[in-house]
Amino acid sequence: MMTEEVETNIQIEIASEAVAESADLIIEIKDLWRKFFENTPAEVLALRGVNFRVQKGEFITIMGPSGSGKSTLLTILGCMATATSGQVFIDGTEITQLNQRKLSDIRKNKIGFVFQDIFLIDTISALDNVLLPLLPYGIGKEDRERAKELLKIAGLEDRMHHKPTELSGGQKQRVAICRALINNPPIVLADEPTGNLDSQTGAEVLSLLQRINQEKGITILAVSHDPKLAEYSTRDVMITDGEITRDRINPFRD
Amino acid sequence: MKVGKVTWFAFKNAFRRKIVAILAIVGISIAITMQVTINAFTTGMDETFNDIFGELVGTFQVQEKNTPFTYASQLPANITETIRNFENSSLIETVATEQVLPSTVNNYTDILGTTVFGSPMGMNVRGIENLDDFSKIYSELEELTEESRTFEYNQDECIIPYALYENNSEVFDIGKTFSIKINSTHTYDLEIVGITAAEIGGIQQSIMVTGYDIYVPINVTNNVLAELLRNDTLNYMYHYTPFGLDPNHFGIENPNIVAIRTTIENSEKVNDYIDDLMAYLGEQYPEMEFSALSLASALETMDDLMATQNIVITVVTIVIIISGSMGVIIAQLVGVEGRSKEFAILKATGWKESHIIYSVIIESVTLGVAGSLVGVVLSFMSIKGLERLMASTAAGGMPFIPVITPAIFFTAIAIAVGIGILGGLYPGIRASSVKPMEVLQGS
Repeated sequence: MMTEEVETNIQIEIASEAVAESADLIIEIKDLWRKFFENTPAEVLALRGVNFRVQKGEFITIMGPSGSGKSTLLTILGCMATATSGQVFIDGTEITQLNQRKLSDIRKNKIGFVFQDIFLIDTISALDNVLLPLLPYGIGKEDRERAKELLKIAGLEDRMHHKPTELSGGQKQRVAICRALINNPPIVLADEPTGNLDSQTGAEVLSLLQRINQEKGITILAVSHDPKLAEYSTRDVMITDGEITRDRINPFRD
Repeated sequence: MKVGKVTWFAFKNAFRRKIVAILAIVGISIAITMQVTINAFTTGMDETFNDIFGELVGTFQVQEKNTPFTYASQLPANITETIRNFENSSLIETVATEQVLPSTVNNYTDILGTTVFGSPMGMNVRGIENLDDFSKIYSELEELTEESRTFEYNQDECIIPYALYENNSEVFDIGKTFSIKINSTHTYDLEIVGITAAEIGGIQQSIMVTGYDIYVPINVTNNVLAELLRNDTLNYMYHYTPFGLDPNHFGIENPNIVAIRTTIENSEKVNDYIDDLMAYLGEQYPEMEFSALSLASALETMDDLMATQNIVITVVTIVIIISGSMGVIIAQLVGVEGRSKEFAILKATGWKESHIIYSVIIESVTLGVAGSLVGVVLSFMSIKGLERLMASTAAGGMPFIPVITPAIFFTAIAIAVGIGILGGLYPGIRASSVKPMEVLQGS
């Protein structure tokens, strides 16, 4: 038992030191707490003083049992939930005190989301689904070109004008990833991106995430139960009971 | 926000959930059908009243006071000129002077039958002083049949109404001559040169329904009166003595009635104007008393009725907007609940709450406008159906024609937009408040 704790602490230190050495931080979390049902008998501590740093271009897998706090962490990072206390910096901007409008701007400009529940709009083409986030802000010719390029990277060059009903589950998730990237976000947050996919299509999706991480330098944080995801990431983090209990660099990834 | 793109996206989205869209459209179309139909009927009624009476608001007739029949009214021979010298005569468009014969001088009751009231049908021989002025007030002589022409002055010619020709064409037709019977021994021949197709002849017909109007130049009535006074003591005694008319001065040069059209469009102001004119005429002819006959008072009452009717329509419209909005709210709430993932994605990818609210409102407005268009079509069909139904009944048709005017159409569209905005606002707020992670975590 004692040996395991020492080992974990060493792993956390190794990863943190590696990040600390770099000034190129894109996410920094300081003493982040999130309580639910605060000051009631049912109070739940979803996050307990989490400290966490992410360097630009990392592909991090966040793992942990159900209820461990990993999704809560992702929600706060995604500017879609508030923290009870602590600080969260996204690309240098502290987000915990921002209003909804500014949070929406952060979501639009800094973060792309990939969800377990893919959800594409069935009545429009894959290309239009990718462009959907840009709709209220205007879609230019260069946006369309970028969307096509993303679909090409995702291996959907010949499927871009098909409607979602004509695509397989894996193809849909790849469209969803392209949609997450259309705003050119420096960060992609993925919540169980392979949760609804079989192993083969899941592997295709993970390869795509790995490719955009490597080729475009996009930082990826993926929450998953799937241990295979860790194989594609550069670093994996374990959260247990609202605390980071393991944070290690993947020595096997290229 | 790029309004056009989001609007187009929302417009297409409105029909994605077909059942919800159909339910919303059906609900709105029923409400709009009611609203448009009621409006079409009341507008038709308004227009009919306006057609009949509207142009008569500023028109009135002047005659001698306390004369129960038009022909017993003896106006000064120069009354037209006097009226034109009235200080407010700039508001007068036309003065049309007439000399009317008593109906019994043309005893055609055997041929003509009875009036709708059961009394013997007679003829109102109307001697027109100036045809142009007459036509500016009365429309009858502007609707002559093809073979017709207007009468010539100083000729014994006349124009008859179509109903008289239709019922008695063997006697009354163009080119034929018929005689006015002054008494048992004297007649006066008139050649028919025209037939008017007009059914209702202005204020005169609106007020007096005593028989067929025969239009003649004033020289004809002058001549008949001269003959009457010279030869027909009995008729004279019967017709004129009871009204205190002097046989030595009465009739030949004096008109019986003057119709005046003013530019005044407000019935209250017309009444004021009439009062002023009566006072002026009283000053000019101190020995005489005048009375005026106008529809202004009746129209004032009608205006009040129309105002009440407009209040009812407004209340109905408000009820329709509220009930329609409730329908759209329910339909949209169902739709929004089922689309929480979509809104979650949109929100997660950078759509602002305002974008989502706007999008949902546009969807509602689209459904509202679609329902409104269907409602207008249904209303049109139901009006036509009612018209057919009425035509097949004893009434033989509607007393007025319901009309869907552009104003009614655009009001329906405006109501639909109102329903859409009201009905979409709350569901839009609900949609925009969705929490993406809660909805999309899935597991």
